[in-house]
Amino acid sequence: MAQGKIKGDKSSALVVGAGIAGMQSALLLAEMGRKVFLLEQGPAIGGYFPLLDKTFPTNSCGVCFMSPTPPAFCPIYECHLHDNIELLPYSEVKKVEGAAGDFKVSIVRKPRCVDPKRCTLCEACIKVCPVEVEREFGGGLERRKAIYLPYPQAIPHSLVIDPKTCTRCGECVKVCAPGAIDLDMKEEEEAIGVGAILLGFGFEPFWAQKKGEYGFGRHENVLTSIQFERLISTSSPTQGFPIRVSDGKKMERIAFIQCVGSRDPSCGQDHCSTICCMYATKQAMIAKERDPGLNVTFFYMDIRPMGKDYERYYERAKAEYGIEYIRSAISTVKELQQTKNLLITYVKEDGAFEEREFDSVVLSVGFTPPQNIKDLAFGMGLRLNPQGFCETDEFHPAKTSVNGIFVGGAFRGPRDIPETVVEGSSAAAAVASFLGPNSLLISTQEYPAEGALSNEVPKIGVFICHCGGELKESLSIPELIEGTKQLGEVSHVEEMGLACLPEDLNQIKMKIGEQGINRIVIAGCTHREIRKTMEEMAKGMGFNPYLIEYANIREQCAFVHRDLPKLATEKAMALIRMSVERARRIQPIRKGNQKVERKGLVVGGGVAGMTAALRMAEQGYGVYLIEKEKELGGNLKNSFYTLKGSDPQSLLKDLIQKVKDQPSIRSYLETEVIGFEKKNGHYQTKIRRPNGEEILDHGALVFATGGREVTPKEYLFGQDPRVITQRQLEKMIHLKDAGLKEIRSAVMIQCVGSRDEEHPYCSRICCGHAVKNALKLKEQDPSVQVYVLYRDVRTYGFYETYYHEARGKGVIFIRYDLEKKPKIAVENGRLRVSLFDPAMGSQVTLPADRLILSAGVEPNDHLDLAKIFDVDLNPDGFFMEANPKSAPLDSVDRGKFFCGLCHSPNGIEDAISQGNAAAARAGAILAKETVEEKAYLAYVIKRLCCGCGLCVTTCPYGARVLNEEEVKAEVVDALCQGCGNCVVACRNAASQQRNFEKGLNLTVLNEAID
Amino acid sequence: MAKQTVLKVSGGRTEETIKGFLKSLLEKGVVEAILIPKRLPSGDGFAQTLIHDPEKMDGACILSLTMPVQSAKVASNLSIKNLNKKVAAVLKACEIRAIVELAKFLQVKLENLIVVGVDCPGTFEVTDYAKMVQEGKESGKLEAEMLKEMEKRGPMAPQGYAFRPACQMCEYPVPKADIHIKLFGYKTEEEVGLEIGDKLEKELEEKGLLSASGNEPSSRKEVVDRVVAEKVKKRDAAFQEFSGGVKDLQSFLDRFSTCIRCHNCMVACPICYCKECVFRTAIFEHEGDQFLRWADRKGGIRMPTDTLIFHLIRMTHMVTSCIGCGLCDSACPSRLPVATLFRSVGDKIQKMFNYVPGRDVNEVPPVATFKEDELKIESGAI
Amino acid sequence: MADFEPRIVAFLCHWCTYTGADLAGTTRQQYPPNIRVIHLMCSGAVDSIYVLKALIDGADGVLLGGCHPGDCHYQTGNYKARRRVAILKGILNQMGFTEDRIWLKWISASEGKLFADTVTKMTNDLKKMGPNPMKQLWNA
Repeated sequence: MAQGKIKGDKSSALVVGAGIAGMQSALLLAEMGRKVFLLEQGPAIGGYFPLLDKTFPTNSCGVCFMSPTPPAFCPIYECHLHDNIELLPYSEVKKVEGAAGDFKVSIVRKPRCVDPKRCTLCEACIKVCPVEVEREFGGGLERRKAIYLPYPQAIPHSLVIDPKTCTRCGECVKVCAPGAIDLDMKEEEEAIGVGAILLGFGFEPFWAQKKGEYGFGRHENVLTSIQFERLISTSSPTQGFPIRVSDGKKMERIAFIQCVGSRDPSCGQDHCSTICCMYATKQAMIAKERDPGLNVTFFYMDIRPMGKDYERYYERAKAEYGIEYIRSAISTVKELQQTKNLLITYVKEDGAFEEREFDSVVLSVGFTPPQNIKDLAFGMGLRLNPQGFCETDEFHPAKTSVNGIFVGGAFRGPRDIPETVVEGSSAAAAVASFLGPNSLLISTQEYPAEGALSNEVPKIGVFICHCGGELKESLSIPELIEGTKQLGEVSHVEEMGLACLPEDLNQIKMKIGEQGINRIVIAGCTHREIRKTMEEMAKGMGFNPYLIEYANIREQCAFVHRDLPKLATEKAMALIRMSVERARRIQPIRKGNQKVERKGLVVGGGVAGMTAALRMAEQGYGVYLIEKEKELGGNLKNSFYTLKGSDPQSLLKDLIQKVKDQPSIRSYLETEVIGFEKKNGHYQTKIRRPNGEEILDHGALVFATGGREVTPKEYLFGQDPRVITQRQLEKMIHLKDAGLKEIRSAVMIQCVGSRDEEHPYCSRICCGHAVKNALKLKEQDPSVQVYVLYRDVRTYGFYETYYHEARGKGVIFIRYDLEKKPKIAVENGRLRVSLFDPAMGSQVTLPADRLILSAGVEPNDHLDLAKIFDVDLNPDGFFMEANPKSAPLDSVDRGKFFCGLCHSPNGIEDAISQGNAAAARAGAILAKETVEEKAYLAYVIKRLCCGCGLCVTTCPYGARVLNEEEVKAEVVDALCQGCGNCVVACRNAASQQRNFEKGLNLTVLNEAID
Repeated sequence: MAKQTVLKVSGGRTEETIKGFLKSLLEKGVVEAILIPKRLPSGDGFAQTLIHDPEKMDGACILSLTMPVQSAKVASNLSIKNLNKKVAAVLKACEIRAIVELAKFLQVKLENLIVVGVDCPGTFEVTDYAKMVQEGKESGKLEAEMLKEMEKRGPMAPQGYAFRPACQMCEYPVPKADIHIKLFGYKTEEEVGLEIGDKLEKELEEKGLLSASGNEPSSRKEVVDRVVAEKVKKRDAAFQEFSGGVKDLQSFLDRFSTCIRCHNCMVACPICYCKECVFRTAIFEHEGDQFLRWADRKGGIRMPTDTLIFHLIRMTHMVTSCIGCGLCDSACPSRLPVATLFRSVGDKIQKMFNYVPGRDVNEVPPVATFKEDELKIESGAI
Repeated sequence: MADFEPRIVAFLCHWCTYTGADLAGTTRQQYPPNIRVIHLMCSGAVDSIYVLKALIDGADGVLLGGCHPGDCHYQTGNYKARRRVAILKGILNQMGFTEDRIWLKWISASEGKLFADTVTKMTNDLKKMGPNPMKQLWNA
């Protein structure tokens, strides 16, 4: 094949894999002013995201927030629309040559046989295609044709032909009106040049057949969780109602089997897949919401909801949804021949066998690394970890073993969406730092100046598109043309075949020029399909793009009223009338720009704060780093070794040195924040330092104000010097304290100040902390007895292997319940711990030379800070994010970000990722000279405003303020997101929204009723 | 905690004693001025007056038995912009509750407003009161009788007259105020109750204005409870009578067919604070061809078209905050039972959000907030 | 009443329900053509005036479609819409107007079938209820 000329250059980046992490990285890099190639092996981007209907812990969707500047549209669309992103769907990386900073990447573009630019999704081809096969999407529960749409929202939004099953009968070619199908399309090779590569290969679900005892593939009603996810999605054939696969009947009892292909060395999967407890719980909750009569039982070893707000979610699943959790090991799953029901035999914690019958069984499959990347990884020289995921350094979580190649998301290890978004952002920061300060402009496109249109009498041109004849089946186009001609101020009406294609676009352009049209109405498909094309055309000819209206007579009319041509035509006429009415009244919008103060301010100089400050500085922005103590370091000062064996003290030294050496960072020690003001486009923070006060202007704000170890209130802590915390033990071990010799028997108690009434959340890091210290004690003297008293062991991800190791080395883990906490007594001067051991079924007493409490994490007291900066805290005192899934580090009003322990309990590695990620998200704002305002801004007619403040209360973005002097409300344009909520909060018409004025909406309403 | 005390009445001159206390607020510089109803020279009505000179307190009335305007609106004008010195305002209980609501919508600034509330015997329509005066109840006599009646059974309207309907069914005759003058249950020719809120307690003590001491008479609670119970009974009966008469939209419209679209109810309403009502803005202006098209479609339309929507929309704006002062009733030239309508609708909506307008200035009005977990009103289970 | 065709005016939010309505089209879900959709940015931007005006001026039913609770693209617009609808229904109910003509429905961008089913059910329910009495009262 002919090889095209090389695209891209050293300042651009290639993101491989367009799942959640890859899309996030690409979007942020693009916003940071980088040219990004986003490559995806499948025919559409999105990864596993389109499969998910609801996500935990909110049981909502909300992933449409996942853009650098929420609220925006779905990340898939954002990637599709971003000027700086070039999508390479249905492509594979073949070879990587060159070196860091100057890679040449050969890629192969697979033939999709349908031209996305011409395909209008009329689906005439699908009707005639004779080949029907299993649909991959959702684990093969449904069927599709050989020519198909991967999923309804797929980008590129076009059909694709599956070459493996296509019989080349040519029927589809015959019926394709726009001539989009080419069965002879060939594979093409292409080379691109980039400075850095970012790998977002993601994961693959564990192949459930490998666990033969569960009967997947043999028993019809044993499903994987991927299939069950599809079954309960509202877009499934049953609209999410869970039914039995074998007979389509309503179910009474279903079982979830956890850890299928996780924590299981026997099938080569010794890691914990981290998120299965949560996704399965979510699936169970959704299933119960859809069918309240359903009984759900979980079979599990440990339950591990250790993310932010996850513990509450799990408690709710038990208390409110009545989901049953049985701690057990499965021995077999048998199918009963008559009913196709399943009989599960399991061993309970006390060793007793039991049997239960279920209608269906869901296997919570774990995550494996992607199987087909091994050769590529080898070719690049990429080191993988023993589990086959990408190996990274603990303190450089976004870097791979190859210089210039970075990684984010589940390819580094299984993780949930919030962490994936954080990691995708973190990797973007690492790439941006690697590539150095940016040079590319955000948008390179230049457009001619627009004419003055606002005061002209509307001359409306209406173009009615029948979509290659497809709409003629249910609409009478001549009737619509005639009807439209009768409407006031319509000066031109024309029928079009395919308004989205260049031929017809040229015709529209010509008519606009000829007739002096100053408002356009496109009647045809939804604005979602055609808006971008139309706006590009308009901008190209100096026509304000906000003077185009869309009448949706395809998706919301012709396609849905197929058998009612008369009524459908009547409705289409009404839709056109409504759009014409809008067109008569809309005004051109020229989006304003606000100058960005291109500096960042970081509050808190711990590991997360220093990391964020460094990444911002490396992108070329000035950074103010505020620390209330005399020196930088925060909690890192008290950490001496990690479970994975890294040295936090050298990290500390390194970070402090780098901060000192970085000329763009100004550190303020012994400094506190005393004031904060939101200006149009930037922030102003007032600080007090030892020698006076100062005002700092900045465009982004990062909170890294940290947290602390909970001071235990029980187990004789503070009363008996032998009762210490894990941190104190760590310090003893580090300092080789003489007291260590006294320890012949150490008892550790988990969940002290976690998962209880006062701290109803999991502190996430304590299980790892305990395993780490237990291993150290064993390492120093294998004969020391170490007991860990736990409620659930939550050594997620690869930490699981250390838990395994600790057990191997004789550390004894004994479980206790919250209702039966261990009791401490002093007998003959010795500490003794007694508790009920559920495995033995009896009370045990353990001697304790030291009792080590795994104290949880709590946030520092942030109430004052939250007030000053106008951000929210969650009930536990951590900063509250805009959306736990998709904007996990962002405040609701753009520009403020949270990282480290002030956000949620997390370890050093996660804190670094969050610091990186916060810097990337801040960088997306700071990269621009100016920030472009939204189009449909709110505004105030001051004469009518009485300053009641309802609009101020209702605005979630702080974009409404009260001018105290005038007693009038105002809009901060830079913050307004154009939702229109303030318009309705206002009792009269003082509050309005551009092109959605109350009066305008009412006239459109009139047309809707007529 | 608020301070409870009494004012000892000398020579049976109750009103003069209370006015003397208020005068001392001016004299001692506690306030710069006092807003208080003053009897009109004709003697048959009252008007709110802002008094700076203590000598001008003559003719001011502690009990004014009419409500020509809702003084919450006066307080709004007074305080919304640049009120830099303290002003005391002598107000009725419903006016104070309106002020509390308006404060939530930033239409009243409470910083420099000292609210003086007096137990309310009820008020008469302005015209009724004038007639009574003309019929021989010379100035002040009626008030003196009412003051006496406050001790035992609550005041009664003179033969042939009635309190305003809203007053008859007002369950809040006892105000909440910075200075609360209590009459119910007191032998008013000897003493009246005085309750001083936290805002002023210290200052008044220091300035020696709280010399006397005394507790509430044991009978007060009983009298108040009885008065309130009677009014609640009347209220519920009125609600029931109203909803019995309004079974469907047609009966509602029949009942309100005499509405002449004067918008007086809106003008009189203390909660309708907009400078220019949405119904007077351009968004309700239609072009001529629009009217013709409607007429064409339906065969004919009534003009103007906006009576029903006016009342409905106004309700969406004010019912959650309706404090039941009934000035809309008094203002209605067609004598429509608008107050009963707004109150009975308001009652239902307020209960939906467990909201009592005028109860507490820190309570957020239902229109300004929401709860994530409330109101399972999604339609059409499928 | 058999041939009575109710007119439904729908106010759909840009992000969820309007997209869901598009998806109904993409997936060719069929539903009655009695509905006219007005596109707004958020369900929290639907003024009670619009709803009442629709009912008085000739609609037999009004549908408000928004993102599911927790999913609002603008954080909390749907919660505010819900309160507004509750107040409106309360008022109408108290005045003897059946509130069943106002529908509030959470429909996400992926619930095309739910959108179609909702319109179908609403049309059928309104057919049973007959024409909206409110609009007739203002005829001459």
